[in-house]
Amino acid sequence: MKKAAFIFMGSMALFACNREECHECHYEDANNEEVSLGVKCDEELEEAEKNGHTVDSTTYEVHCEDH
Amino acid sequence: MSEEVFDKIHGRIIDAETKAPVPFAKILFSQIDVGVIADIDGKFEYQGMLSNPLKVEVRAIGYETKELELKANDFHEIIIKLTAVHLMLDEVQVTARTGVIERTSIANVEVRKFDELSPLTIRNVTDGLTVIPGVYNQSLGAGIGKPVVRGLSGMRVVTYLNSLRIENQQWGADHGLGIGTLGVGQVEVVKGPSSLLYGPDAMGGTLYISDEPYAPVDEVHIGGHSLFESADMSVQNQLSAKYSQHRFRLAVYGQQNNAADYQIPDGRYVSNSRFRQEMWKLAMGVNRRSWFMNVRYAGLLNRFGLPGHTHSANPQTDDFLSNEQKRRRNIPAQENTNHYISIENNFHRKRGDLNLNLGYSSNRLLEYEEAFSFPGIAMMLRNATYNLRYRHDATENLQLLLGAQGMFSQTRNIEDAEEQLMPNSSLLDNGVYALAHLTTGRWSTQVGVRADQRQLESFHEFKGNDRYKNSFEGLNFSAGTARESKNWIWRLSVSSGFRPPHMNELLANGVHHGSNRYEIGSISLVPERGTQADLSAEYRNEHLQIRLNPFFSDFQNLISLQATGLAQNGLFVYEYESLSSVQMYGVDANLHYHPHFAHRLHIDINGSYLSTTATTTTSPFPFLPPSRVQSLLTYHLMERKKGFNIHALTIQHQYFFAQNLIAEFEQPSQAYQLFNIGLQMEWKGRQNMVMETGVRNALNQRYVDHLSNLKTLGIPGQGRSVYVQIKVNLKQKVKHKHN
Repeated sequence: MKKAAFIFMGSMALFACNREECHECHYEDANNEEVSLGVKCDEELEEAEKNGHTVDSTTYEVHCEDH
Repeated sequence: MSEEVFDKIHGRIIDAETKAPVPFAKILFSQIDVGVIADIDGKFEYQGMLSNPLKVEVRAIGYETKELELKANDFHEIIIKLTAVHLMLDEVQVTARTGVIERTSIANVEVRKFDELSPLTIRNVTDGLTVIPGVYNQSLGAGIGKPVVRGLSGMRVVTYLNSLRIENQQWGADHGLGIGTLGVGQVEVVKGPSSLLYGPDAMGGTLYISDEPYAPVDEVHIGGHSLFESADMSVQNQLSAKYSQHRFRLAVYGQQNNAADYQIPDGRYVSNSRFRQEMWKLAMGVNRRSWFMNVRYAGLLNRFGLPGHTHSANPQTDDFLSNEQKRRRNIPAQENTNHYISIENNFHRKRGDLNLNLGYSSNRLLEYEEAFSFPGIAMMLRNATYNLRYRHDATENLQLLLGAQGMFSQTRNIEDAEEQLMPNSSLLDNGVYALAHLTTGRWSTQVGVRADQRQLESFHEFKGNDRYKNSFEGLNFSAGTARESKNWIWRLSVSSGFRPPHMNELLANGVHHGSNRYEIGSISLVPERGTQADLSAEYRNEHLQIRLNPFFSDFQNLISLQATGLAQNGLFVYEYESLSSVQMYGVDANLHYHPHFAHRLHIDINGSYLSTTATTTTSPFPFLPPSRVQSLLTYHLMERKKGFNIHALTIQHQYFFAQNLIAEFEQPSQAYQLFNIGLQMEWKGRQNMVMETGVRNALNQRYVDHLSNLKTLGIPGQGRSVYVQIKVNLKQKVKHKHN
């Protein structure tokens, strides 16, 4: 019984730690057209939001919020 | 003049007229915050440390609450007679802060048991408080609410949770109360400036929120409730467990709440109005000879979506509405993680009580604006408080209260945030006060004085401003008199308050996305000062209760955000300025009528009116609450002792008048009315279950509340919403061998 409880709690903790945060991201190009970047998760999401998206040496701000 | 005795108190509760036993009456010993419940024959018994004399509060459904002061000789075989009432609100309530019965209190304090605030199910503390005249809700969507008392809110309404002053960075228009409904037993609202007992900042008023009592001695209570609301498809679940022995008490609570975007009357949804909330509480009490202690902890985790977010120069209401209801995490959002710890000590002395309350709280505020991965604003606020108070019974009629109170508070910006609104800073408050309460015949008189000092210091230069360091002193008073006769209660009081400027008002310089504006502080701001005269006349008989409460407040240096007409970073720029003189005046009124010919019917009407010195159309102070009339009609359908009961049917009508008295940058609002309906049912058996259902905004009225932070964008409030709540409370007697 104790063993089952430990396994249950352990898997819950693992599930909680592994919960991914994913969002669909986009940027607006020079013509103000929305360009989709697809779904980005965790580190990829953070990198896109921090560093933006570079196309032909121009860096665009990346947005990932729902509309 | 009290002493401590180890003794047993036992007796019976009976109906004063029929002499029949009153089953399941609650007998509360307020000095040690513990109670017992009478059995089906009205008998009760408690053994443990008892004060002599002992204050006893007896409550039973359908009876007038009785307050007694018993001597040790009276502890055995006592018969307590309760009088059946028709007027349910005509009750004795004891203020947690002073221990004074509400009816004889000089200050105009509204004391309400939380579960009796409204027969309609209450979703959150701020919403619940709006049933009290003069109290409003300044909202941001369905999740964030700040209480507005007599036209003032935010930092000007001081909130206590038990003995702990709650700091939730109230300087932000979008920063809510920081307290959930979990385990709340009683709320008190002091209206108007009241620095005497509550310290600096209490300019608009004070909220004093107390936890519900522990389980009766030798009982275990397991409680659970679930609430569903259709407009935002929210589910709120609560669990609680309580256990008491005569020297030890324990209570644990947990709550989880999750709401999607709320629906407006045309069927669309307000984008990003979703929120989720988790709260947990632990309370532990011990008592020994002439001492009792409570240790309390509360934790709160919120994530609120911030609707109405825009950088557009010309936003349209439709931009913020959606045809799809969503629940998943989005930005912009605000996240709070709060921890509240308090240690309350009460030492009984022969001629009074000594209280030493210590507290610590932390508030981590993260506002996510343009990104999920890193916050735009991230701040940590830590507070430590002390409160030492001695109540001395000089004579049978004269009570003296002496106290010292203080707080050390530190605000720090967390490093990985994009921007800083104000510098890292600290605040140190110290205050002493003295108060005398004299009772002679039907008259009660109270006089008090308080001296405070607040030191403010910033730790570094900030956006062109040098390090800031200043000290502010305040001298405040309260004086009043009350006269109580069989049918009339008259109260007249004059009280003052002061509030030094907050660091945000002094040094802010940046975009506050939560409130959708660019804010600029001013180091030339000086403390606000306010004085209020408050008159209350109350008539009550068996079937009717009427209270009229006019008031007049005079404020100097009231700090207000004023529009500059400029824009920066796509947002309008506002500056903090002092308004040299502002007067506010108005009247709160209540009527409760229970017609003799219709015993099951209760009619409750209250009204609030507030105005301010103004030119013809402009108010010196923004967000003045509109006049309001709230009418509640409750019909008690069945009162069976066992089995299924349809307890009460309630219809509420709320009428909010148009508000055209507005500040320069404000928008007026139109009048609107709401109908709410509620039905309370109960299964009475060995264990009880309560079911509540109802409809809010039954006519699906479209309205934009004057105090809504979304008013400028024309975003309406919630449309029709059906709610269902189920409450279960399982009780079990535990046999315990007393020493």
